[in-house]
Amino acid sequence: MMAVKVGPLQSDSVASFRDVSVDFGPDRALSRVNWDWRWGESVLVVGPSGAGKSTLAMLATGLVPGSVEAQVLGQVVRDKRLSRPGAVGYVFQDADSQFCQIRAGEEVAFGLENTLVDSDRMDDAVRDALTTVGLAIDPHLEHSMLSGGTKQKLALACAMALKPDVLILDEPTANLDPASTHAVFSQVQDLLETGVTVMVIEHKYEALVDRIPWMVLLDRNGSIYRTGPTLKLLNQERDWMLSQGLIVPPRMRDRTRVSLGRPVLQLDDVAARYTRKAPDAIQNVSLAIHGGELVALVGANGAGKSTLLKVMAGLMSPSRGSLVGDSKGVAMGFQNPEHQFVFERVVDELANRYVGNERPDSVSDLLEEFRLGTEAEKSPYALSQGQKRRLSVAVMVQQDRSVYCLDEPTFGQDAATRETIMTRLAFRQEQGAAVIISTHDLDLVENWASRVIALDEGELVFDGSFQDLKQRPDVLARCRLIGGGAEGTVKSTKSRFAIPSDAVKNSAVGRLNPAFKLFSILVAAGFTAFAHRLSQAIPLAVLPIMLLIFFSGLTVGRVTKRLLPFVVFFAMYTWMMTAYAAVGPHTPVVHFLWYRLSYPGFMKGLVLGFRMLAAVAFGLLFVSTVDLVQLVKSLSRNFRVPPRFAYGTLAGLRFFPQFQEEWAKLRMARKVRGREVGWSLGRVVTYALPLLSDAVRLSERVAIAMEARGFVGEAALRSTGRTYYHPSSRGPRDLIFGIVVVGLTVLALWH
Amino acid sequence: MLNRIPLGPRPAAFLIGEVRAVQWKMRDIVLTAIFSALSGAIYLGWDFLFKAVPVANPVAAAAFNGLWWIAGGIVPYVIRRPGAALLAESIGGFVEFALGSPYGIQAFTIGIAQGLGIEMGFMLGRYRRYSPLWVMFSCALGGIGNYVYSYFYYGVNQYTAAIQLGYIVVTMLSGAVLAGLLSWLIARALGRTGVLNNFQGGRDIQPRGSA
Repeated sequence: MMAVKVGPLQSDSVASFRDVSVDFGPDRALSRVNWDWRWGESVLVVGPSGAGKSTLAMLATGLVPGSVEAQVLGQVVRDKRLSRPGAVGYVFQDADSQFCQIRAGEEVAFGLENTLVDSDRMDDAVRDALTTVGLAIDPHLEHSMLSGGTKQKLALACAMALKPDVLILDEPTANLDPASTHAVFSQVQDLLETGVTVMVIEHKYEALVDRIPWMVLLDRNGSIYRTGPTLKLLNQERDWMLSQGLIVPPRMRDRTRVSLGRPVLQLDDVAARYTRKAPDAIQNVSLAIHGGELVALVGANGAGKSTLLKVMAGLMSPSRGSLVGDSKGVAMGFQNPEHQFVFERVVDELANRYVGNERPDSVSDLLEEFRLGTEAEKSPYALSQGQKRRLSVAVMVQQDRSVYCLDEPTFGQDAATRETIMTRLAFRQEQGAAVIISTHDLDLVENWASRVIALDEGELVFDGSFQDLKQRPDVLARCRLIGGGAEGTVKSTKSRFAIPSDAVKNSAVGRLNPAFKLFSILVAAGFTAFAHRLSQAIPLAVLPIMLLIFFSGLTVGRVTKRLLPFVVFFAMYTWMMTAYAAVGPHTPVVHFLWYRLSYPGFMKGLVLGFRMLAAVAFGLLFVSTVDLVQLVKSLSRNFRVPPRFAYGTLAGLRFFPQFQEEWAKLRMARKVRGREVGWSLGRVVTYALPLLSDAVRLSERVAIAMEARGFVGEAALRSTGRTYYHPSSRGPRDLIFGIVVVGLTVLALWH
Repeated sequence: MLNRIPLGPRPAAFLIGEVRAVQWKMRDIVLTAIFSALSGAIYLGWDFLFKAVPVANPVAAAAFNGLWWIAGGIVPYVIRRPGAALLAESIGGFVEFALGSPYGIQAFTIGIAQGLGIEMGFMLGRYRRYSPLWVMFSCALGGIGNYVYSYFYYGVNQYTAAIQLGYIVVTMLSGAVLAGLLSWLIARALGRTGVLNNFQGGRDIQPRGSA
């Protein structure tokens, strides 16, 4: 029996659970939970992967059931205060997928719009929120340009702007380097002092044990094992935490006995870049890798670690310098394990061929070792994130190579899984291969690496043992391996979305309301169908070109450059008409090869060509003078498109540039497996799988994040149920533009 | 149940008899946008590929047409909501247009026409029929949308009757295969991975290893 209640107006508990279980389809996420979460009790939730930590948070705050469908048994009572939109602030693991706008200011304002904050007050509210989390950035900056730590602070600002009573942080630092993690945690401590009740879910909880007073321990089955004061529980429950794989016994590993084998990779003054015009992602890298080494590559996000691994694996060729490798070749494991999956079942993936029902012993052993036995028949994509990573490592280490390159092989894994993966890699190392991994995890480096290479801005800044690295605070700070250093807020200066220049924005066409402009241009372009003579079609093409040149702030050169390529295209249409148009019985026809060419056909073709030029020019007039966010908002505001559809579409379109990057990575990853597996027509479908399954999961995350930020009820359903950050740009000029453009089009057809 | 989004007026709500199908969820909308934007990129590539292939016979060229409305096949199949084909094709066409299609703003408007055609198919199935054959049938109707639009805008009305007939038949077949069958194949492969479990369309597909 499910019962979710909203409690009395004032209660002591944020939420209380009586015998609550949560099922997602056949999978039980939480099992018989009894717990009172009191106001003012900030808690740290700790448990192994898959213990239901996120489910607990979503259940407490009302995202389950609702935004996320689930069967809930037992009784949950939530304080009525939580029903206020914005009462719950949420920060998720993946900074990118909780955003749904394009620029930082809009992002903060999204929540304000949902909670009906007055448009005039929004600018101040946005600035206040950014100040609250210590972010001094221009609100007009695209958030895709921000560094990882800054993005999470922005997410915090979005949550804090709504003045929440409860703040949930669901692994907010999983993607961050140690310095950014430190910065986010200090921010959390400051927020605690404002009186908000916080729940933090963290794998790397060590840094928080002094800051968060209460703790909830969840076990593998999704039951609450114990709750209580953080430090007390940590002291008393060491054995339990060991049994759950949350911590591992300290290991004494003698790294000095590593005997260097023969050199397997030699890099000499290597530089590499992604495109011909791009700056070098790594440069001046000279090093030799020997068999028997386990090398850890460390450095800030974007320091060039992944690039260096790709160069070593032979996937990217150096733009300068030389690279000499061993004939046995290099195995490469990518950051996103899905990119490398090529089979429909886990067993086939491990065997690297289709094995049917006959499972080779070697595969059974691997399944056992990597704890994937129960998943053998499943699709690799259906696994949990941790299982996927174990699978991709398992696939890779069974290949017999002299070098193994792995990009963050232990990312997001609990301690026990980290141990499994590293043990396997160390085994290869002992057999004489070289293992090179990139990581942010310094404990892992200390415990396993025989050598550390630190990169900063593409250059090698340290190469030596971990003991020596510890003596170099300058390198540690520079590579963001310790907290305290100043963090650059901006990671890239390249914006993902074309933003109209000021000249364009302030031009006559640029200032128009986007939705009305779209409407006027669509009507005008629609009329082009009625042009049947050249004397009608030519002015129709000239009209938008004139508007482009004189009223849109673009230069003649730019307009020409954008339109010229299409001329070839129109020539083709002209040819189609010349050769295939229906002509009267007495029309002279020229026979050429098997074509019947006619003069009337040629004229019709020209008309069609000019009509298409008009369509392209009208299109360019719109695209080059409009801002996507403004368009979406004005569609909702002025044309009454339900905000769910308008904002939901924007949230989806926002990811388009990201998928272009994913596509490039996927192609590279497939190069590694593709050589081994071969190519067939059926692969076309499986090739689409990594991208599409990514897209599906992203849609779910984005949708949950939007609803968590108050995008529910009237604010999402009705354009009048919310306020808008941008001032309304609607005015008489929109009507005038419509009349002029449509009028001139009709006039061109009339004469 | 708490926090259930109340039903409100929605586009196309009047078209169907069943409440179940009406309720677009937030994730349906975001998925539509992402899938359609990716399709828009494919459309653009197709625009140029189509230009590069030296096919100058309109009937032969029509065989390529179907891929231009694949978003209208795969999105409705996955999310199963009224209006899905129309929305998907509008977004797909818009992205194709915004990325610099040689068809200009007509890439957007023809997308709407194709989407309307496909939508007719799913509407005839009362938004309850999503078998592979029905998806192919609906996507073939997308070809009618394409034909009507091309009739007025791309000079198809100028062709001889025989060529026009050939054009529409080949276009519909192309739609059934390149938009319909391909959508179904991809969606089924996707469904078997289990990632579609939270979507209406994923519930029909048995994920691997779950038996």
